[in-house]
Amino acid sequence: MTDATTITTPSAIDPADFNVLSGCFRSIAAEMSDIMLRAAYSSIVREAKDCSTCLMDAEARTVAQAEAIAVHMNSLAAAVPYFRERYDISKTRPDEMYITNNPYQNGQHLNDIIILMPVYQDDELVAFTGSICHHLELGGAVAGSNANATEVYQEGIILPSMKINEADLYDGPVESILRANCRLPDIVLGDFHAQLSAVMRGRTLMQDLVRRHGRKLVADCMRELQDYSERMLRQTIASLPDGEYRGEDVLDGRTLDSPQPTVRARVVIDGDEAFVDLTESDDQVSWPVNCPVASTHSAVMTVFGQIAGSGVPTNDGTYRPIKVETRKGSILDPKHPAPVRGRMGSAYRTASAVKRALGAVIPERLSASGNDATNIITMSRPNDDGYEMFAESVSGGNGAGRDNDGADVVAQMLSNTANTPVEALEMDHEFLRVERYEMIRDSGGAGEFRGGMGARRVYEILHDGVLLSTNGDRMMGGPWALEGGEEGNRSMFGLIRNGELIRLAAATNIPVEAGDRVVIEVSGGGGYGDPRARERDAVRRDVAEDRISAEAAKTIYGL
Amino acid sequence: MIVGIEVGGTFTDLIAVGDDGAATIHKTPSTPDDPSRAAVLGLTELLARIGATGGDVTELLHGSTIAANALIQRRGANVALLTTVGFRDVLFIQRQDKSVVYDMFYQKPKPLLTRDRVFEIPERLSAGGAVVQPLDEAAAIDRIDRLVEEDGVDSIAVCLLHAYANPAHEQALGRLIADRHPDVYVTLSSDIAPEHREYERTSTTVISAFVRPVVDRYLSRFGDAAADAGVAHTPLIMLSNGGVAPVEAARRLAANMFLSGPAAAVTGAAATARALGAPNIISIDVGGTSSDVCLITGGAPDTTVKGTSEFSVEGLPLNIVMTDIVSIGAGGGSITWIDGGGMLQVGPQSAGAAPGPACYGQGGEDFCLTDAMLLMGLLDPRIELPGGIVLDPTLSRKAAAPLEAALDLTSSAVAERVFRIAAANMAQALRRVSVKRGYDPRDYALFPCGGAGALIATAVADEVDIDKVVVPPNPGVFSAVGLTVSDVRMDYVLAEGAQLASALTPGDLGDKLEGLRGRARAAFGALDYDADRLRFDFAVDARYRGQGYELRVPVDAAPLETEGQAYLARRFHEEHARQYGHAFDDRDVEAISFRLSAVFERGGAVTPVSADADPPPPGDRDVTMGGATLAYPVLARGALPGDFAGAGPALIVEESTSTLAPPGWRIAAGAAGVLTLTRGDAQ
Repeated sequence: MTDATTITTPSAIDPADFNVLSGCFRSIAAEMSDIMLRAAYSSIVREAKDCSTCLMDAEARTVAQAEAIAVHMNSLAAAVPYFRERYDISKTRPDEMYITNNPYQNGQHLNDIIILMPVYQDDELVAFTGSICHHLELGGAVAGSNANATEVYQEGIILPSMKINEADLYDGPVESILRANCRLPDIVLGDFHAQLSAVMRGRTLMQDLVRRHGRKLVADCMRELQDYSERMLRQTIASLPDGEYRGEDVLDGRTLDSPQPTVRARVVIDGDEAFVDLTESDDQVSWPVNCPVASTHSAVMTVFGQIAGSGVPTNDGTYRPIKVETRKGSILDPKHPAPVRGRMGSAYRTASAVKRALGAVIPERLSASGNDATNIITMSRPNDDGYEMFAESVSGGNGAGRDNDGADVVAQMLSNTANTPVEALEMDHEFLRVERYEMIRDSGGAGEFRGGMGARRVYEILHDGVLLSTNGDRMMGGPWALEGGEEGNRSMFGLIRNGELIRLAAATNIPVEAGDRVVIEVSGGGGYGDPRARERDAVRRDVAEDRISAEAAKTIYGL
Repeated sequence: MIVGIEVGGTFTDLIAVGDDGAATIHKTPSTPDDPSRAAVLGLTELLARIGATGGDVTELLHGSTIAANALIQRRGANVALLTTVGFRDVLFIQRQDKSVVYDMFYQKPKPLLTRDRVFEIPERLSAGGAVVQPLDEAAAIDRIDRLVEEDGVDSIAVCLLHAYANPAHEQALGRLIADRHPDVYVTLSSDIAPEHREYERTSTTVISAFVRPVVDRYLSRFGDAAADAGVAHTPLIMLSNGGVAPVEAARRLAANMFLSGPAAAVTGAAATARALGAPNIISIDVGGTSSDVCLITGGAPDTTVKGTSEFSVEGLPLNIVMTDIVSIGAGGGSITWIDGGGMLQVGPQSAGAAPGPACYGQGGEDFCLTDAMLLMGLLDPRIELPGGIVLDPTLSRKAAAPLEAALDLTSSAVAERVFRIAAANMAQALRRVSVKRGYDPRDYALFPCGGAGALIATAVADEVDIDKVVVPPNPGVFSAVGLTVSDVRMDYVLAEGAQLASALTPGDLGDKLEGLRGRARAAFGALDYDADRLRFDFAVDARYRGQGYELRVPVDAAPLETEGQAYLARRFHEEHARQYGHAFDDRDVEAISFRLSAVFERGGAVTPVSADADPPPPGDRDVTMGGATLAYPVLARGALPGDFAGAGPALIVEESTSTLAPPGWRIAAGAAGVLTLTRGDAQ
């Protein structure tokens, strides 16, 4: 158990102090996250958990982030240079804070509002606390995600990177502008207040910590925890064989028969550092799947974070050994004002391309591709009070690994969104009923280890005048396999109207009416290894459990 | 004479409290193949030790890990699940999220059933409980008959969509099964957990169906064995809610038994706190592999909160009223190691009871918390542990050697750091039950129990600025003590979907409470308890309209029945403000569930430690704390006068464990046989 002979603690900090304070940093970030989730209004936050919180040092570098949504990895720190451009953040006053949702100032997409709050103790700036939260609706051309946006202006209200004062909140100008520009002000402002509760709770907890342990020890331990993560990441990278590896993956086209943009990654491993060159990826596109560069970076980091494993705290140190290069004007670093609402597709392709590049040399340390997409279903309907709306994320299967079948219907690597219970959904929205929510037979890619199964969710529409918005990927190609396995199935979004199935493109806005059925099928994961090498008992169990058909067992698995 | 029997993983602990209040404790090795054997053997040994017979036992109380073991070992019934057409995969899809983010090979908690054990029945209700598609009884009969006759199913779980709003279809299926196959166990979701969110409700129903036959058989065996041992009275069984129920009722409440063991200690802590008039405490039960922590406010332990990991067993959600115990991997067997980034860590891996810490001399080579406490002088190597274990400090030093080299510290300096890190890990669990739920731990006293609890308590208190530690009598067997003072308790819930509070009149609210009271009176009456002596504690789970998670708001019946929803809304705003720091007084409040805990008070009391038969060896012991080694006086707890007052440093020794009072802490004997440690000049 004790690997003490090879590693020594390289710092002068007492080992007990370091352990104890590191635990406190992580628990503060986690406590902020708990507050946000439990106080939130929208199902996208409270059930789907599309939010993250972090604790930063006095320079606004991340120290600890709650394990929530991977694509939010370091997203708060990424926004800091743009605050610095306008302000001297070391002179932030205690009642001031920073806010942005601007994708072109290292924000994510417009729905994600970032808040950073300073923490003062005895008149000295000691830390920042931050939160980022996906808001259900921040205005824009349609009540839902705008599939037809050609500019970011059509996707919602833009909050530029700015410093605001506590007086600007509540009845002040910032909240007034937000309230006036969105269709569901109570829900959006409810979630916004949950964000504020989180950063304020973090501030209180941090002040307590500094009071107990003193500024110097806290600052030393923050720095040491960043160095600690850096050491862990460097060890991970050093364990990969040196060399240059290439991988690519494709997005769906604008429509089901139009060209598919390609993401290309060149990964160079050199000792304990990695360089990821994404410049050869295709140019930016006219529809909203462009990836703001901050999301591109988070996607790359997630792959390395996953290889390192869950013991490594995500913070500033995690990023130091990894360099990422993008090309301005490409789909992974678009020029203003390209639309970015559906960035998750290209962010997933980025992570997928990096993973695939490494798959050529270390397949045994990776899993095959999962559905690797965020499939967001939004439905909205005007009512007497304005609008009612819900958004939810339907996940597919994970890719298989060397020793395991992929998990069925599970949040994919860049996210950790839960589903919305059917009973909660129907309790809150009378305009729909969920007819089926199930796993799809033969959806997991075949292999010695099988890809996880994908999901089918069928909504029966009970009222006219509902706007359906979809956002997804993997309709035009299945998740890739490893070591001779087979791809997972493809996703399919469809509308059954008068008995006829109309297939929808990944990003669609379409009015639906009573009697329609909306069918969402999400792909299973890729397989690992030759299906004919799968244990015969496992194949028989899969047939008995109706995970694969008898026909697939015979023709693909050779049973 | 009252006897409590608590079956643990390694030892079965017993306590007998005589009519004169004198307590005798006893430990015997557990028999995991059939835990009732050790329970009854221990009872016989205990009775022999005090020269009594089964006939002298007026009340026999029992806590058992039988339900948890059946689940962990996956040794339960042959279960089939009947569900609504279109929803066969609820148990496998779960909530779709991951408990660990950065794991490429993530696996979900393994459901108790495989996919071929789930069967769809044609039927559908709306969210309001209206019938959208009638139940197809013919199809159901065909399915049920085949399951029982061809597949040998002995327990059927039924969970239909929206059955919380209208149980009619589930009840019809229940009747069909009972009529046609009376020997088959039937568990309906609308009986056991009638609240919305289909995964959590299905999971609860299946867990119950899975363990029910095992628990039923076990309790029946235990009841027979107790009768054979001459105990004439019906045994009382500990439930997860911290109360007990007569064995015949407990047999039907299998899903309420998962925390049967840990809840007993918490119940004992709460009873002690009430007796002391110091009703705000945090209990910490430090065992060999884990520590269990629970927040007790106003003398009442918290119960589990939806959306937290404590709301589950083995990762599977369980929507049953359970004592809200946060369990973390920090105990005497927690292993010290240095991780890949160079951080000194303690646990969560544990050396357990076998091989155990290095000092046990059973082949363990890892340096554990117990080794650290031995090297610090907190444990006396001359005193043999139950099971004949003799602690050997030279083995601890040997295990510490690689850590000394890596950290460039002496073995006692390593030991002190391990002790502090373990205490800090426990303190994190304290924060989870207090700060995270909106309570300030500084408003609470720490209440340690378990083998090492009273040795590490002041160090844990230091980490969260708690300045009072209350050590109960017999902390080493405190779960058994807790059994003897627990009350008979059963919980009831009424949920009919989300109801706008403003639409509920005082009369509506009164009807709901009266309906719950009626169910409790009927159940207690059927068990021969005087229903007029019941205490009723009500709570309402409510939320702002549009919010997803509800808060549990304790309410008083009288204002709810007279003032009505205005009172309910006010209480909700208060609770929201306390937990989240803000409230929205002008927003609509929705009531989701109405809850009742019905309690029949037994009137038990914690009794002081008896004078030791074998007092500890006299003299001082060298203890290393804060880098300095001092001679700590060793006191025998059983010999302390009732008005004892002193000051640390001291070690206070009793049969089941020891208490550490470091320098700067005052010591006082208090009511109910407790020792109170108070820091510095705190009051």
